[in-house]
Amino acid sequence: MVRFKSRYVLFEIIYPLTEEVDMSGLSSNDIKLLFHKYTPTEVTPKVIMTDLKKIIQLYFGDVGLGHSTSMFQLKYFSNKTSTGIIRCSREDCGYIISGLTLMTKLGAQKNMIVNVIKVSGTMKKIEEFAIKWSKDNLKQIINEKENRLFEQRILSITRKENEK
Amino acid sequence: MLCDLNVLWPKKENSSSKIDFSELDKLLMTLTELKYTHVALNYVVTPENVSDDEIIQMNDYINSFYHKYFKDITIPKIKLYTRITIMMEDPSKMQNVIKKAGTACVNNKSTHSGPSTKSNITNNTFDIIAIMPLNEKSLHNISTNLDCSTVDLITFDYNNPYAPSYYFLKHKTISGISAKGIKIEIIYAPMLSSTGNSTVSRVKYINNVKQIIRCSGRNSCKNINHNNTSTNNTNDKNKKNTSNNKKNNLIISSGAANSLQVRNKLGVYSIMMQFNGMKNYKGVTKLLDDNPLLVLLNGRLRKKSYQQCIVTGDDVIADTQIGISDINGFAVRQKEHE
Repeated sequence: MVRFKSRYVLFEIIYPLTEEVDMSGLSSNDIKLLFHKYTPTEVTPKVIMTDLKKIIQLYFGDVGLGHSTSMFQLKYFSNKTSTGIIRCSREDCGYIISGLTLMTKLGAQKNMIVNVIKVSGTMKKIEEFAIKWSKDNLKQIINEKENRLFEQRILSITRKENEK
Repeated sequence: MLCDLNVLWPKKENSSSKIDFSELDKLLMTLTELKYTHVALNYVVTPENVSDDEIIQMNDYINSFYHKYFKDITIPKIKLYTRITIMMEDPSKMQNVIKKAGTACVNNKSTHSGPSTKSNITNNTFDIIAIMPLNEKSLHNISTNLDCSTVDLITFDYNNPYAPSYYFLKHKTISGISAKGIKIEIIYAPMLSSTGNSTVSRVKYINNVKQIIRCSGRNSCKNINHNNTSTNNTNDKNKKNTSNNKKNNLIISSGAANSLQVRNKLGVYSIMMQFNGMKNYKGVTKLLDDNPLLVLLNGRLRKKSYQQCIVTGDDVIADTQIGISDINGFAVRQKEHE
């Protein structure tokens, strides 16, 4: 027997600045925080699934939709960090990645980009990468002095958890 | 390292009104967010209206942009360059425009007789010079008359879906252009900008891009080896490089006018894979980092070198040094410290 092989796709939702936002007086840190807003609670996993299927239907037709949804699950999505993980079959993961990149709206939410970060073969590796990714983003915002304190805090938390 | 050599410079609505830069600011901040490192601002002109004010304004904008947003040292910066693209309809009008944009001359003969040696030094402002041929005659003119010492890039009119239907691109003309070291550009923004049910523009875009990829196939690289007049040492290296890499003469850039029309490395790869049939991941990513850097290097050589082969100085190729062993058949060497 041959094992069924799958791919895991890590993505995040980015909010580019619209016409209404005034850039004057904002530092680069403030702008970075505006990009990584929380997604509103109206955007549920169900909304993401239906919208992705609609876009695949538009660009690839019935054949593309049939291929891509053979093994298609949203494993994880959090509104606070606006990141998520999708599982799909290995042969047809191209449909799903390009469907995510061509998205222009989610439900009633407009002015957003879906940013595909990583594609991996196992759940464990993609989870590790997601933690590392968000840490790196936070490090850029916090200054260097605070940065060291922040690292120490994180390390102490993980050690305590391991001891337990 | 990620490059985007085509971010559109905003147009004036009237001749008297000022340009609104707020949209461009937002676009450049999204590009930093998507981890781009080298970005070129693209100023599109026809040969009739080239203004000197615009050139000065561009350099002022670049300085003010850094001053506004990149005060902190910890945040990675993008490097901004300037680029001009000239819409070419009548080849006879081109000579003056290219002179103005900052090159020696179109033909080698006219450099010695022409009076324009002093004005060239003052007008060396654009980092990249690109040409957009609008008919077959002008494309043929590029392949016969122009060099990589005058032009760095060639683009096509992908954005306009109702433009007169494309002339059939010949394999011979494209290979002739690539043999001279001029790169050809593909844009991905038309795939994202067309909203709703406007399938016509998307179909036409995919059709055009497919045709260009077909022309710049493996055989065009073979042609370089026959025509190459470089020294024996570099010739062997060239043969190895060109036989392995299929699309050496292409680059990919966004062509975006809006902050919603840009994607990161994986996103661009997925678009190119699904719609344009490029399946090798390393092959596509090479068109986003290595080949655009060669274009930037070519532009710098055009401005600062003696006949494109000798440049001296400490920081000449510091930015583009990584992974580049030869340019158009000439070897790149670092000066040894004594």
